[in-house]
Amino acid sequence: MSRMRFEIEPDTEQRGVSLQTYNTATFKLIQLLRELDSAISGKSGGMVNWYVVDLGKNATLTLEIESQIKKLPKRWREKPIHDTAPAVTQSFITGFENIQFRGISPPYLSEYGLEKLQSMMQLLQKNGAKGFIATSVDDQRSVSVTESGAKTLQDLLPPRREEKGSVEGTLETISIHGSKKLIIYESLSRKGVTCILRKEESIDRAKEALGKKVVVSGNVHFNIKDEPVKVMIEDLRDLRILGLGKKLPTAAQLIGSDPNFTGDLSTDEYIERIRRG
Amino acid sequence: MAEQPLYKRPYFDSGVFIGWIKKERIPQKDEDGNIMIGEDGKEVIEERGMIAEHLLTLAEQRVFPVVISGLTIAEVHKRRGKEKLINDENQNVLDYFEHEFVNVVPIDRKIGEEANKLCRKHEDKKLSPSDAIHLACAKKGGCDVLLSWDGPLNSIDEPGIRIEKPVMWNPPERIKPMEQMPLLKEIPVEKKSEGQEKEESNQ
Repeated sequence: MSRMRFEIEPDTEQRGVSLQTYNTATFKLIQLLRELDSAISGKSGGMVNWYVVDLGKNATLTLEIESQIKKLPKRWREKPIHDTAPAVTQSFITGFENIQFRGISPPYLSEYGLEKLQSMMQLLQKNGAKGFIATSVDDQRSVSVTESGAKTLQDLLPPRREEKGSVEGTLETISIHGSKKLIIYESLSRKGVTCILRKEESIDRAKEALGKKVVVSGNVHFNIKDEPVKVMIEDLRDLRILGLGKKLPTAAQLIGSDPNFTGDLSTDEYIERIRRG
Repeated sequence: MAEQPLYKRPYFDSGVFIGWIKKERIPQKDEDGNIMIGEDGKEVIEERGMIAEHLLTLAEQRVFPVVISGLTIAEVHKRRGKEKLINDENQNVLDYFEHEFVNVVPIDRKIGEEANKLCRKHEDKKLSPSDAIHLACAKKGGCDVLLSWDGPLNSIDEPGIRIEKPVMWNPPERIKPMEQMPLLKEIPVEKKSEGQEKEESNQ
């Protein structure tokens, strides 16, 4: 369970925050929480629902929400289920910190998540909203985002260069709305990378890869911070499921498995030879 | 001051994997090149295989991730030598790199450019292009340490990252595996009516 406070800082020169701004900001908030939940839990709809537990207006418009784990289908209950809500709240706050202070994109969010966040940020300095504050009530971790955060996000969204390459991570989402897309959570950066399929084809192979570690190869688009944001793939042959149908060996199984791995050379001699001739 | 973990996000040089597969034991030598003898009268041995296995086991327990690069995968290959090529050992290693906790930094233009700069910067230490690619990948991978037994690479001093020999390390108990979260049985689950469930599926 996790409790989060979301505040809209009103511009004191205006009469108040417009109802549409309030409505859009809270709608984007729930969309973002769901995307984070889905990425962290690996379940497309996420694991938790959020309930309003307090509303207030002092210096800011305050909305306090609390998570509850969804009632799960029977087949899920056999396995241990994790409460993703604390991680979702922390990731949301880290995301705000990333755009406000670090100049990098938030964790877990895909290109579409970033667009939702941008729509939220675009509400600032218009119709009475000056900033947003997100607080994890459980540990009082709090961050305030302003127009400068919105500017950072604007810079992070457009791809700045593209090259042939690959992205490795866990396939978490398949979307068939419009062009067929996959969202992979990159292992290195824990950010969502959108893979767009160029050819119209069956997505059965992608379904098989759902929730698994995969590597996709294609034209990788990077943003200004050299973070991969998008991969254009020709077809699903460019998607490889790692460890598929294999029992991967452990460290204990492979130690000493081949004393002659480098022939008559010691490791040091072998490394010296391949690196320095 | 709180004790920091020794390794948060280590980059493993190729030699660490090779030493592990070979279960390598290296007698230690003093400055004059003489084999060192310990207080027990036995040779002082660097148990590289055991150290590597220990660290990889910690990674399997999700204490930290393992970061490598495409170059590591290429370098850790079974030498054919005079023996008949046995694919099994080589394939086992390739399979190991497919584990979920192994993160591979792809080698791209940016890595090439960074490695180029590192070669020039550390020309006095004769940093090879391959070493420089490993170092550039470790930096790109956000690693706090590059673990290597390669003498020339370990002589490099690069800001933002430690380059050092791997050592046995037992993490403090409070460092929990990365994905550890409370289990469902410890968490109150809401009870809902059918109507509520329908409403949520429409959310």
